[in-house]
Parts: sequence; structure tokens; C-alpha cells
Amino acid sequence: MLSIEKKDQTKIYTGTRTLKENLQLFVDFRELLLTWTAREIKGRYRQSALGFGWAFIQPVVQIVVISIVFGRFMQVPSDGVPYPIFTFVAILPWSFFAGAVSAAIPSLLGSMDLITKIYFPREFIPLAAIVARLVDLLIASLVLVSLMIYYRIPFYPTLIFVPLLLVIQIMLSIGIGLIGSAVSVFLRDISFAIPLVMQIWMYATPVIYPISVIPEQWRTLYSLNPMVGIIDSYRRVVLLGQLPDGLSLGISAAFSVVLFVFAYVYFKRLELFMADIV
Amino acid sequence: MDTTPVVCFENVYKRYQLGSRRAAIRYLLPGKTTQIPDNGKQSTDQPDQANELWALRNASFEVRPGEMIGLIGPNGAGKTTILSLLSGITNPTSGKITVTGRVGALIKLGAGFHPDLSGRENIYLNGSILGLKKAEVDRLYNKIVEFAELEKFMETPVKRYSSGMYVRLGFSIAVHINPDILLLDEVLSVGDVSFQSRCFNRIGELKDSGSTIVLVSHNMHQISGFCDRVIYLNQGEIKDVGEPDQVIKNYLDNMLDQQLSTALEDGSDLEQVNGSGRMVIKDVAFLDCNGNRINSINSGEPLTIRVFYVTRDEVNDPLLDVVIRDIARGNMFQATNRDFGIELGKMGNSGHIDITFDGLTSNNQVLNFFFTLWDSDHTEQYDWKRYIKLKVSGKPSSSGRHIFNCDWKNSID
Repeated sequence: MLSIEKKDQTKIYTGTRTLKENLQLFVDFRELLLTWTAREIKGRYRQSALGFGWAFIQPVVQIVVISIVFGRFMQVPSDGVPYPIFTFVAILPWSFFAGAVSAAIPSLLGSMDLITKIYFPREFIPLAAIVARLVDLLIASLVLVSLMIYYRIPFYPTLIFVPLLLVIQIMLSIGIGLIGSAVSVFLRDISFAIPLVMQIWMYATPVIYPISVIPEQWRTLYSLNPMVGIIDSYRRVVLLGQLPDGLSLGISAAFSVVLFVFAYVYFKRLELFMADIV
Repeated sequence: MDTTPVVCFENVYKRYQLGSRRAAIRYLLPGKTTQIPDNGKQSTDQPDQANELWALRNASFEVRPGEMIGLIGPNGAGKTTILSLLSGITNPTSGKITVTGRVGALIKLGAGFHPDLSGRENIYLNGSILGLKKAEVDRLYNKIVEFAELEKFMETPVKRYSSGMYVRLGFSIAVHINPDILLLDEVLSVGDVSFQSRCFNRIGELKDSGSTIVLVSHNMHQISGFCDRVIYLNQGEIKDVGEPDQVIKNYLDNMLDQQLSTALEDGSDLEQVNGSGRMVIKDVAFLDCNGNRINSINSGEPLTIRVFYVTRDEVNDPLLDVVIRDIARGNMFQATNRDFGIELGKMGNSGHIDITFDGLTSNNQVLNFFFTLWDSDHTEQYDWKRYIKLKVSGKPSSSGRHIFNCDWKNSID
């Protein structure tokens, strides 16, 4: 239990904390989110000559290579939409997801110097790693908008779904990021597994291919992957002007919310012992 | 003055899991309820408990506002654990800790720095973690930098700092955020002389302004000089709380006794003869001024060492070589009777030789005595007895290995 009375700042430690106390701490330290995110962004591009240019270059090069290999040579179907933009609308949120998770998971381990010397709610570290990736997403979105104009894709009214999709996706990233970062303090194997898991996960998600290539009878099972509903929905609302598929997005949303809540509670439990690991 | 405690420990226990992977994985699983062993005693009967370390057992104490508390005890006593708990870095396994006010801390020589960030960024990061607004940090920034004497290094990532620079910056931040409670772990032993003296002055200022300070130090001189009260910890338990000099004396005595008992193992075997055996040391006794046999004495008090011998042959004018070593292992004394111009004459079949000292100057030391008997020409070793112990207590507040008698006088011109 830890309670902070605003007036005289009395803290009581008994070795456990209630959800209410944890949320209160989060509010008390809220400015840290900004501080950490800012340092996360600055730190990433600090010693690079191109700086934020990399946030452009990476997706552009990716789209060119993938379009040539999969679109031109392998003739991967793309539901009647030009392949480059068909893939890009998926690569964009996928890169954000993969980048956020890959940055969040080792973030606590990288801050052990702080964790063992000073107290603050630890969730700010992985959270900041995730929020900082939003900047990249924003920059890369400009590339998407340019592509849409180039391919004369209209701005469908279904675009209003994008913020919802983003929220679901961020909750999923936070859920995975919180659990992964906390567990990896105790079990470093997690960090080694990230690149591998992310690669497999991408192939299990309709990023470089349309969902239509998956046989009908496997579709439901396939949709249990929470990223399927999210990526497919982006494609529908941005490129095709269709509503998201209720079932698969519903699965994604439910999974993300449940994971998010569980992850927070679990993270805050492990947080009590993080500094005890040497 | 308000005397509601600002720090209150109530029956606090802290357990650490030792060992590597399995212990760490246990944290990840849903926890069984914390079990406090009876009286906090460690039991090794159950394999579960074999790799547990109780860093703190049933600790209860209070700190009143404005007090300066010293924590003393051997390594692993739980001093740093108390600071970590106070600052909220780690959490009690059971019990209750109440802390009132803003806490500034330097624990295990470290400040909470991010190695990749520059000194400047770390100051702001630390400030925001400690609950300061940016404007407040702006206001304190110059003072912090100036105190740490790091004007030229504020744009350098702290990972390039030397350990001294690191601690200087950490200390400077901790003492400039005007903490209600300041936790200092061994920090006063680092830095150069000029920095140390500024640290002491700054601590004095904070004390005067009403800050509560908890100081961990192995330097009894600092502890007795600064602290109003001292807590002596050993193996996670509070052994003594009270007046600095009293508690320090208790601690030093216990430590010396421990040295005495553990050191005995590498120690003396009076049965064994190391030499030709024509003359043998049967026993050695330390006697106080009343002739009572003792194994501890205060420094400066008269001491007689009585060496009991027996002879097998006729022995004339042997040499008795005495070596005294303290903890520093080097010889602090080595001489034979001849060095003092004394011949021992004809030895009987049995008898004893007395060596009398006005007083030993050692200060809180366990001394090892070595006695060697030689023939008159210093060519034949009759016998050699090693590691005979004597505890010499001194002044608890003084940290030197020796304490010499001296007078103090002030004269005004």
C-alpha cells in the first residue's frame, strides 16, 4: 500500500499497493511521460547526421524494395489496389507496432541505473518508448498521404475509424510492452526473442499480402491474431472505404483491452521487486 | 517544534531471493503469501528458504524531524536496505514504513542517472522525478552545477563521467532540492578534500534548516561528529539505538569480539612446539595492573605480558622476541629484550618472564602477539608461538588505529 497525501506528502509502504494508489501515483508523476518521451526521441536521433530524415527514409526504402520483390516479381495479389500503397498502408501501422514493442521491452533493463537508485512509477519508461514511436508514425504518415494523392485514392469518410484503430493498436502495444519489459528484468531471454517473434508475427499478419489469400476455413483462427483485425481494418477504411470487419476487429479490441488491463496490474506487481534483482 | 516522526519503521522485514534464474522466475509467478519465519530467524531446513536472505528482520524505529541519524554496522547488516526502503526503491516484505516529506537520496554511491543523457538533462530528469517543476530546476540549476564543479561537463553524457564526477553531481542534486529527508550512503568518503569539506558544510546547513538526515558510514568519526542518534545493525537486526558514542562503542566492541573469536581459528596452538624445544613457551597471560588475567584492555592502561616457560637443558641469556601486529597486518612492534639492554640470565626448569608496558596506544584493535625464543647467539630457535590475541579498546569516536595521550591548550597572544 502506498498513499500520498497531497498536503504533507506522507507515503506509506507496506509491500503492496492497491490499484487506486498506483493510479494516483501515475497522476502525480504524469509530467514524467513528457520528459521521458522527449528524451527518448532526442536520444534516438542524437548522433545521426540525418536525424528525423530516417523516419522518412526507412519506410520509403522499405516500400520500394517490397513493391519490387512482392508486387512486381512475385505478383502478390492486392485486392485491385496498386501494390505499393496496398502494402504501405499496412507497413506503416505494423512498423509502429513492431518498433514500439521492440523499444519498450528492453527499455527497463536499459534503465536499471535509475531503477535501483530512485523511485518513480516504472511504467513511464516503456510507455515513453511507445509514445516516442508515434512521432515516427506521424512522419511516415506524410509519405502515405503523398502516395494516396499520387494513386488518386479518395479520402473516404471511413477514415474517421483511423483514430479508433490507433487506440486499439496502442493499447495492444502497451499491453505487450508492459509485460515484456517487466518480465525481461527478471528473465533476459525475452529481449533476445523479440526480433524473432516480430518477424514471425509479421508473416502471420496481412501486411505484405491480402487477407483474401487465407483460405476461408482458416480465416477465424487467423483472426485470433489481434494484429489481423487491426491491419485489415486500416486497409479497408483507408484504401477501400469499407467498414472494418466486425468480428476480427472485435477480437482485436477485446484482446487489446483485456491485455492492457492485465498487463498494467501484472506490471505493477512486478514493479515491487524490480530493484531487488541484481 | 513538531515531533511527529517523519520516518517510522514498524516491524519491517525485507527478504531478497538469492541465486540466479530460478529465484528470478519465482517473482514472475503468482506469489504465495509472504511467510515470516518465527522471530525472523533464518531456517535452512526447508530448501525454499535456503536461498533467501533476510536483509532486515523486525526492524522498528522512528526518526523525528530535524534529527540526524547514523546507521552503522558491518557489511550486509541492512544499512543500505533501510535507505532503499525509505526512498521507495524497494518494498518491504512485511511491516509498515511511513515517510513524510520529499526524499533526496544518494544510495550505493549512485544517483539516479541515465548514462546516455548529458549532465544537464540528468539534472532536469532527476528534478522531475523528485517532483520539481521545470521552473524550480531552472532556479536551482546554476547552484547545482557550481557546487558539483562540473561547469565544463554539463553537455557530456554522464557515462563519460569519472566516478568522482558522478557522485559530485548526484550529491549536489540531492542536497540542493531542499529535501525534507536526505539519505546519504557512504558518500562522504569520495571526492577530493575540498569537495568533502563543502559536503560537510552543506550537510550542516541542511541540518540547521531543519532537514532530517540519515547517514550511512563506516567512518565512526563522521558518525559521532554529525549524528544525534545512531542505529547499530547486524545481520538485518537492530542491535542498539541511542547516543552515538555509546552505540559506536557497543558496535566496535562487538566487532572486535567477533574478530577475536574468528581469528582464534587461524590462531595459536600452545601445545605445539615450533623449534628445537630446549626451552618451550607453555602459556602466555595478559595481566592488568591488579595482576588479573584479561583478554581485553583499554588503550593507555598498564599491561603485563607473562610468558610461562619450561626448559629441558640449561639455558642462559636466551632472547625473547616479541612481535605485535594489528589489523593492518604489518608489525607495529618488534623487539627483543636485548634491544632494551636487558639480559634474562639463567633460566630455571620452569618460570615466567614478565614484559611490562606503560600502556598500549592501539585504538579499537585486536592485536596479534608472536613470541619467539632464541638462544643467546640468535642461531637456534627454541620455540615460536603465534597469534595470541588481545583486544584493545579506545575512544569510540576516534577512527585512527592508534590513540596517543596528549594535552590540549589554547593560548591567546
